[in-house]
Amino acid sequence: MPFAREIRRLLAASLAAFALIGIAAAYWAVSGASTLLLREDNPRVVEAQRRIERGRIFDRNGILLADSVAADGAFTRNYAHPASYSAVGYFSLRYGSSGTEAAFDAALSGEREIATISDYLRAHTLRPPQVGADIRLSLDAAVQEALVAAMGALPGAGLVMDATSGALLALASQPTFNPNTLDEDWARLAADAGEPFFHRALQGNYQLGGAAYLLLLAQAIDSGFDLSQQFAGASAAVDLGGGTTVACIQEAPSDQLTLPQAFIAGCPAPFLLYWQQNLAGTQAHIKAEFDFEQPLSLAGFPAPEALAAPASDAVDAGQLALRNALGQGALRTTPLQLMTVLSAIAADGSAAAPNILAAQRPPAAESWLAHAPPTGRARMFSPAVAEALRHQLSASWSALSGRAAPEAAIGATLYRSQAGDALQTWLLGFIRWHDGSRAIAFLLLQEARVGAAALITQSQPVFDALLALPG
Amino acid sequence: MSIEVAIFLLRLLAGISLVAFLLTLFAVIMRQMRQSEALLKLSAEPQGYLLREDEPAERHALRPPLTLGRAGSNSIVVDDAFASALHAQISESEGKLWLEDCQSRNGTRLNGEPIGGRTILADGDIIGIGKWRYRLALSTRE
Amino acid sequence: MRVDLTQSTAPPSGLHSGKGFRWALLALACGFVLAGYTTLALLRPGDPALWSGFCLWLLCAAGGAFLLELKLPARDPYLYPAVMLLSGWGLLAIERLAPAFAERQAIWLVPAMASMLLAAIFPQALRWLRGYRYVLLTLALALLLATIAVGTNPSGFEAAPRLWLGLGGIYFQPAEAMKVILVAFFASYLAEQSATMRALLGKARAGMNLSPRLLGPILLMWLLALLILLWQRDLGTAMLIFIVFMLLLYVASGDWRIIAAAVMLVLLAAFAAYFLFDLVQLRVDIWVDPWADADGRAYQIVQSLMAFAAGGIFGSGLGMGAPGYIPVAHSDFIFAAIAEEWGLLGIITLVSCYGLLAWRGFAIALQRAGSAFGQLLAVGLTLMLVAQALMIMAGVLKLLPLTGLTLPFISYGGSSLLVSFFMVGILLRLSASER
Repeated sequence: MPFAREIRRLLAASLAAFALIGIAAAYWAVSGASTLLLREDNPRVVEAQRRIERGRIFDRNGILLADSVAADGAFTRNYAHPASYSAVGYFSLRYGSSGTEAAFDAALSGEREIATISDYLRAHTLRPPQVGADIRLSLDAAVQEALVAAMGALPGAGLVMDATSGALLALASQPTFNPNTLDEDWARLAADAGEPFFHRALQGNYQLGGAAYLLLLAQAIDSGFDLSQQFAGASAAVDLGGGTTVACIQEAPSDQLTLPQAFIAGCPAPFLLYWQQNLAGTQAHIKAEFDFEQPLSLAGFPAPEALAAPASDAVDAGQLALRNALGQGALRTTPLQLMTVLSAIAADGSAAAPNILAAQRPPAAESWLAHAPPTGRARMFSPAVAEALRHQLSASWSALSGRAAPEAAIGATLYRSQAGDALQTWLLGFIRWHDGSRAIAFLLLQEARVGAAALITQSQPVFDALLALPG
Repeated sequence: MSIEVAIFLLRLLAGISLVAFLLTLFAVIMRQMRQSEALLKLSAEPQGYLLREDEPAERHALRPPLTLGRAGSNSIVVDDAFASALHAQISESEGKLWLEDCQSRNGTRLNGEPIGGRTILADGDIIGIGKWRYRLALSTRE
Repeated sequence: MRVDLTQSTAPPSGLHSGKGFRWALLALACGFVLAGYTTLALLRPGDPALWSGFCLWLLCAAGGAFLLELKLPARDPYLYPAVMLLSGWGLLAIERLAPAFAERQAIWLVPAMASMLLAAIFPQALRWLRGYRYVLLTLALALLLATIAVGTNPSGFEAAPRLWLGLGGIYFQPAEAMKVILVAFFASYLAEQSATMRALLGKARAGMNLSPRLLGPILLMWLLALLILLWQRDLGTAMLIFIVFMLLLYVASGDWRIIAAAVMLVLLAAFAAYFLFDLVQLRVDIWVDPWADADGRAYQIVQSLMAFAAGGIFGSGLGMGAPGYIPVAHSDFIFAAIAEEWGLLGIITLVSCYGLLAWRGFAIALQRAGSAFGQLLAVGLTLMLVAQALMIMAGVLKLLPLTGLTLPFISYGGSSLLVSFFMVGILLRLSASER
């Protein structure tokens, strides 16, 4: 038969080629699952994420902070409350998540429940979007707005915490980002020298500074030191060696000051004298009770870096001890850490662990499940010392603001800290209702030299918002 | 029935249709290969011979199917006035040989008897068309 | 004794073999397509328009089957059900991937089916292909030249190759018609020369049997067609025609050196094209290493391989995968889209259908002993379909560089569908007229 041999060869070659196609397809189908599909640029992974309807985020009163908006079978995140951007964080398919979005990601993205065969089939055929739980934060939108307004445009951090429960009422860091336009702004934000993704309130690593005066005052009260004792040369600046000096924050009323008077004016000299007379060689109380070397973090949020002191300029051991005593040495703190100390003062000497999640609501559920706050309080002062410190802070606030305390006790102190070229101005305050039913601590940090009067005026709306809180 | 169950069943149906399509093709091809194998074996070696009674020199190899009739296109041309153009045919099925009259005008006889429908053939049978008679001589098979 | 697959013919009529399987195969294909369309209808409620595609397909499939049974009962029984399964699958995949194109493709199925039936039922088609070969070839070349002057691209992109002729909203690709006309031309010419070529083979000096005196006209026509296609940057079709021609020459002459020469020429041409055409360079580069530029130029092939991986063995299920990530999945890359949703099992069925096409095509060629033209024509048409399917499937699987061809019967494209069906029509005719 003509051509038969050639045709049979062609047929064999064709069938072999088709078999090769089948083998190649089998290769990619079987081996690809563990290689190709895991590639970062596999759009199916992103698609699966896009199809998750993340839960909404509310403040304590049910004001919407963030929700998911459906568009074309997928969801995009919408952030409704600009003042809480830095607290809520962001969720981006391209850049991951941060803040509350990251801390409670498991709850917010939810998990598809497959209980029946019908559920299973539905998940594999109709592919209904995975729906996450709604969460309610302990933040209060009004307080948050007042806090962000008080911070102005300066870089810094702000914290408001319920001293009895540890619930954060407000949490802010500046500069920050707009999570609604994160993908577009990412390159600019990542290159920003102001580090908008760095959460100063939770991660910031600052010199303890004048907070040491408060701790020394607490020590003095605790040890029964006579607070009416006056120190001479109180308004003088103190030389810490290496060209560093610290001076009064405000103009000292006279050159003879008691410790409480020095506390109000923020004068270092009397505290230095007190330390040299009573405590030289020890600083155990600061280390042990306030645990400044163990950075505190908010569960789920990024932890601060280890609070190591920057390399000290050449000073002798005596000068180093001196620096430590005045908060200018190796001791460092995050705003959140200092906040717990402040909340212990506002409450009765012990601090609750800070927390931010108030309640969860599973998808399709009607009612909220309250989130149990962490139990256990860290005792930092005796109740009497805490009360005496509140008294000192109230006196300080009255002197600073020129106003008498209203229906609740208000206290505040002001100081600066400095390390190298960075200078911060702090305001530590509290409000406590006279019946003790509620106590709130308030911290405002500005990374700049801000005048005392200006800072008090700035922070006044925060106190007003706190006083206006519903029972 | 909920929609997800319907979609699942449809997917099952589509998959089964595809597999059944392939299996049917495979089965038919296998059957055909077996048949062609049998055909080839048969074409190499006839099942037997049809011998003309009155003309012993005329011998036809028996490779069913074959047709008998007056027309030149038949396997065995029966040049008889009583034969129709296509008179009868011999086919094989179920391992047996069948004789069938093709609605001829004058009918076909088997061992002298006119046949009705299909009839099984046996060794030594005599097929009669008009005046012509053929004897079936099957070769013995092991 | 040795049993030869290609020797097996359709069971002789009259024997107790049963023709039921033809209808069973068609019914199974129909069940598969119907299940797919029903799934799509459930997933896209409020879109009853998609049923028009299925109805047209069903009408064509049933009408074609009845007419073939009536007019051509002795045809090859496997080709038609396989081709209908492929075309139904293609329509379904296009409906799922690009619903906007599905209706157009379904409408193209009607002339495609008509052309198949015409070629299968009327023996004149075969005679005309042979008798008017120069006229047809000249006409096809003229149309091809016309696309250079007034060609368009239905997609409307400025940069896209203009391979179509448009008239009243209908676009046709003359290169597709060129494929079948060239095969008929080669087959009729080589059928006349093959005896001489084979007689000279081995006797005279090497190469005498392929002297220009024997092959002059055919080489001229072939070069002309290739030049026009290259001019148009339709490199895939040019490559396909080159391969089919060389293989036909091999069959006609029986000289294995043709294959060696073809491989050398392909490599040489690829080497030259790599430096001449930016497109070729791009495709070869991303074939060698797609991972280097997975998000850029190699995006399509990387997404295609990911679709195979995502499909796995059983596939994601119709409408459940994400083949939309592969650019123009309904055309060149429909094979990958099918892999994602029907999985490896679907791919094996699909490839088996093409394998069946190859087997039956070549078997038809073997059965037509005695008619050199018929044999060579059957070989050429089968090669055209098979080589095209192989080239695009291998391209999608990164076995070969991409060639920009459509997958016959499945990809979106009216001209391709019409010509593919016409080729099958001729194969059916050839399979029936033997006895």
